[in-house]
Amino acid sequence: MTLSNLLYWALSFFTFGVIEGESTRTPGAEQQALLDQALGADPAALGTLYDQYVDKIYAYIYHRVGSADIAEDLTGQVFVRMLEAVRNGRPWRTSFSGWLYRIAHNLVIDHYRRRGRATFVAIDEAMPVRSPDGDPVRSAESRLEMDSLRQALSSLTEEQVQVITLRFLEDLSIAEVASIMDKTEGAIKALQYRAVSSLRRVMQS
Amino acid sequence: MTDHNEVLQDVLDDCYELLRSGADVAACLERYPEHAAELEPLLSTILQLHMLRPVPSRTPELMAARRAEFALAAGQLARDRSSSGRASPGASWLESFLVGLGSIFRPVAPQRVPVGLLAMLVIIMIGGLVGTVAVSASAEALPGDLLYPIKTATENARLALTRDLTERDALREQFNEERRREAASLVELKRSARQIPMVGVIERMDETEWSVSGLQIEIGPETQIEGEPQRGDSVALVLTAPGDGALRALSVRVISEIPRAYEPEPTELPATKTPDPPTPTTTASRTRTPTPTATITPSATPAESPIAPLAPADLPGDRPARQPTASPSPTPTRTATATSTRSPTPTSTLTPTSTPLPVFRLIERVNQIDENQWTIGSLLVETDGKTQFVDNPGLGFEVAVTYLQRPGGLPLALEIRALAAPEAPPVPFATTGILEARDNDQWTVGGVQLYVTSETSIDGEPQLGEMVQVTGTRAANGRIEADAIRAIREVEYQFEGVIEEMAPGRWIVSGQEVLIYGETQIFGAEPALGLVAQVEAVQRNDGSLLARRIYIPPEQLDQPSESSLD
Repeated sequence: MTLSNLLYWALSFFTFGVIEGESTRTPGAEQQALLDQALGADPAALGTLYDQYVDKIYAYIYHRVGSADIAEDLTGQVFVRMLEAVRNGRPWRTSFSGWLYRIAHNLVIDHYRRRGRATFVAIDEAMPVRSPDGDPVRSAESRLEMDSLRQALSSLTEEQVQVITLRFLEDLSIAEVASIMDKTEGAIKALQYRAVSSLRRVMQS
Repeated sequence: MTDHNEVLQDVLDDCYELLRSGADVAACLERYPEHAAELEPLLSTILQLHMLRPVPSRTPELMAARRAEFALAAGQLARDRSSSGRASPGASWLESFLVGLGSIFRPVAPQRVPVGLLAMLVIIMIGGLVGTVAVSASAEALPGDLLYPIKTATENARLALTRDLTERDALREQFNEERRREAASLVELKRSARQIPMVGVIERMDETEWSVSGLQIEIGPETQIEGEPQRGDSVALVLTAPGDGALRALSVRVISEIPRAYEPEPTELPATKTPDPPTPTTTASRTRTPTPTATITPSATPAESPIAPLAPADLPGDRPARQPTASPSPTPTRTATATSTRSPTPTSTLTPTSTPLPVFRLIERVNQIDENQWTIGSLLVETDGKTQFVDNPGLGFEVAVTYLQRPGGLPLALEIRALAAPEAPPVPFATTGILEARDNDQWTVGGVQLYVTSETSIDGEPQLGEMVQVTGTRAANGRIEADAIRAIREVEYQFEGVIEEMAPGRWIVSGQEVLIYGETQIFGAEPALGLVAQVEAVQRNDGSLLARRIYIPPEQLDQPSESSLD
């Protein structure tokens, strides 16, 4: 194996194997091949990428907009944009998953811009809460707790909400979040710490 | 940022990674005992956040539909790439695909995979997959969408592959209906599209606007009209949607007209009949072989009448092709803006046995059906075995009836074509949501657009961003009119007092009534009369207090009561 091939492998792993599960589902080379095929507008490869990411993107958008219908629509738009980018010759250059999440993030921001205000999750649209033991009092407590969490999240900055969503709701690694938010891992750790601290303070107040 | 914070942010992240790997908070704190006091609340907050993780599950149908749409679009993209690749070899998708595919093998077995083999594999794979996705998925694409060309191409292919004429007609009608639905969607979504084909029946013709199969179509000087369209005619249109919710006709072509040939049975005809004559104004005569004469005299009544007389010579089947500038015409007088001026009642002079009877057309609602007698508007017509019923007309439907004015008898319906279903009565509507937009009489509440009329009662001067409660009605056409809009402003209260009364759903705490409901959280000690309660409640518009949380401090149970002190 030549040095260039080694570099190629390393780069592939770094750029395309960022999202957890990506590399375990399909080993680096296989995923790289898939992405190359998708760049060539191969419908099967594009479909596989869709299957890999649609649920993740849907969950991320749902956590940001709090409406299943809106999340469904915006998720569809993310993948249309993906196709348009392939068609127009302006696809992902480094991390595909990071690129896809950034599209989702931009659509969420556009959505809020159109609505003129941002909320984390509208309380009325929140998921029903049931305590594991079916105790209605516990359920009500959980509901209140979730409401206060959402309320507190609404008072954080956009970047803080984004890092909390990606890291603690979507359960992505620091490296993945850094790739999506186009920051260093150190910056993400700092942002994460500030976000959790702020959230704690808001909830206490 | 201080060094301490920098350390803490690393420690927090390390702890969270521990939690992700299955450890508990105690294990994290044990690892960093010097930071335990600061870490514990932060980790607790993170664990609380996990409560927000669940997302509503997507329905399998919706997932499948979205997946199919994507597959279709991806297939179309591949075909676009394929065709553009042939046009510009330098940017060939195949070339880049081969490069990409080759790169898979390069690290494993450099220079071992022949390019020719790769090309064959690629062509077989792409060809098969594109073909499969193109025909297997159906889409909700609209004109202008990425998906749309493949949608219409698939329809055309289905038509071409259908040999049975009846099946083909049914398919064609199905696709025509799809075109109408697409046009309606474009209007609803206020989306723009350049060329929208559509086939429909003209239901109304105003000076600058026609109603075609339920859609309002703007007719302008630039509209090219082929033939002499009249109400009830089927027309093929090419529309454009500028994106403002309107549809404008680029062209209109008559494809079928309501009247059809009808040769009356001689025995039913009297020698001569002159129907009730209106005041004649102008006269146009037509001659039809062998030598019949029919004099149609339009009155000066304006074009709004729903009745349009049809000269016998206009009957299809034995007439010359109609020309856009046909003259003289006994019925319509078309202006440059496609206005039709019609005569509501003709005067006919008929020659028996050789002269066809005059045929009329009326568009009205069906008010009554009594076996073979239909009351359409105020006209009573008779049906017989030859009457054609198109699109299942029935009671309450708006129909276009083509009928023959039989001398000495009831008019005979030749065709009754349903134009619109009966109008459903408005249904009650109610919603509660955020007032998102307010534009004169159009308000948007929780994503729902509704109309405010002079009858609407507005309570509390609702402002944008506030929660409002709306009641009203939803008409059959989907229009929602608000009867009442009320701003909902809840004020939170917290107070402490002695429980004086505990009735189901209602407590009195230090003279203040609070309402208890299913979501009221009661915790602390067991509530009882005489105990102190801390109440968190919201005041509703009517002034009542709705308790959200009531806390009974348990420590008061340990204190001696006033009575025991006495």
